[in-house]
Amino acid sequence: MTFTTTTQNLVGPTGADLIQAAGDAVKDLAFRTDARLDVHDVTLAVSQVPPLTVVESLQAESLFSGFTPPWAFDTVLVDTQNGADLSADPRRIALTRTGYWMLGGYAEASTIAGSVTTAFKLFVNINNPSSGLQFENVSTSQVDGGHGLSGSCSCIARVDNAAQAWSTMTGFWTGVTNSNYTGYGPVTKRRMWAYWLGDL
Amino acid sequence: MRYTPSQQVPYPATRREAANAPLASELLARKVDTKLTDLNTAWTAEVNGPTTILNLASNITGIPQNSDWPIFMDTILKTVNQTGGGQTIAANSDGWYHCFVTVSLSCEGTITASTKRELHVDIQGSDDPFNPNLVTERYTCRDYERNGTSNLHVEFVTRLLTTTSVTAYVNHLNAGSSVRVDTANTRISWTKICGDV
Repeated sequence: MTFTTTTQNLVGPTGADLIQAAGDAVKDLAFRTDARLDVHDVTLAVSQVPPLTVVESLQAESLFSGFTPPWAFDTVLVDTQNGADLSADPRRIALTRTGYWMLGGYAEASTIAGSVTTAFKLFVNINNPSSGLQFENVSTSQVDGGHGLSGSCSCIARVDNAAQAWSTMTGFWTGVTNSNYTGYGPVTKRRMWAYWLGDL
Repeated sequence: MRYTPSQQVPYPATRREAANAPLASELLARKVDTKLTDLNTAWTAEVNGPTTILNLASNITGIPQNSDWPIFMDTILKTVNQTGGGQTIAANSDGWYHCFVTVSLSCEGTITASTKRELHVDIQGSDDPFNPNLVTERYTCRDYERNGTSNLHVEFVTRLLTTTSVTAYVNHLNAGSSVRVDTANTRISWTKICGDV
């Protein structure tokens, strides 16, 4: 008659067991211990090299005076989670594991025609199947366009379904300039990151 | 005696080897002890950093126009498993880091026109022996203030090396006046995400 531990589901012989039963009991304990240690090893390995993707682009892309589609990226700086497939979709990082994620980005436009007097807004979005596309965070940097625009932000996102989760990044300014400039300017450097923080 | 395929935990081979159960139990206990100790050591290192948070205890005053003034922090608020970085960002091991730099700037004197304020963080260091101080990356935040206090914030994820230096600078175009970095809301921190992969 073996007993089972309450938290790790391990078994062992009891004092009332026959000696003939002890061999099987120890074998069972050994295999259950093996399985539990495997789980801890995997968890620790994920923690030491967490799912992490960083993508970047130095190619100019339009920054409009209103909301724009997500920006494209062309360089994968690091990717431990197979989250970046830029040939398939250069605009997103797939979030391939359920849990909590740190999502963020940095972007700058070297100069914007006219003198921009309204805030530059940087968005990092996460696709969330339960509620559609959501804006998770915004960073603002109110500047003179002649001096350039830049911004950075991070947010913590919850991913319930790793098969349908990804992050994107974009930005805009609201388009009011003192020279009546309402066109667009180029976003030059931009970098987006996503790394896994932990389980749900 | 046999061993499980993954973790090499010992167990009696057959029921006929039940007599070996005491020895197997002893070996199993020793194996679990060793393994749990290893796991505990690894977890302790993992949950305790590496992280460093720098604070500013005294205002930095009198920063002149167009000076590209380096911001050296004066207090280590917290540092765990990280030996570098008394004044600015310094990685003590190669890898990927998430860095945060926030500074609070105030005007000293009266400013009558809107002027630019800027925080930029430079990452310096290259493999080129003739240009070791090359700025390899720069992250910038600018503000357009008249005469008040504003916070500038930059954050980024990047690969840092023990040989690279990361320094935050502030700049402004307030002609004939100066700005100061206030202790409130001024902080630099960096956290290692993982080593080189």
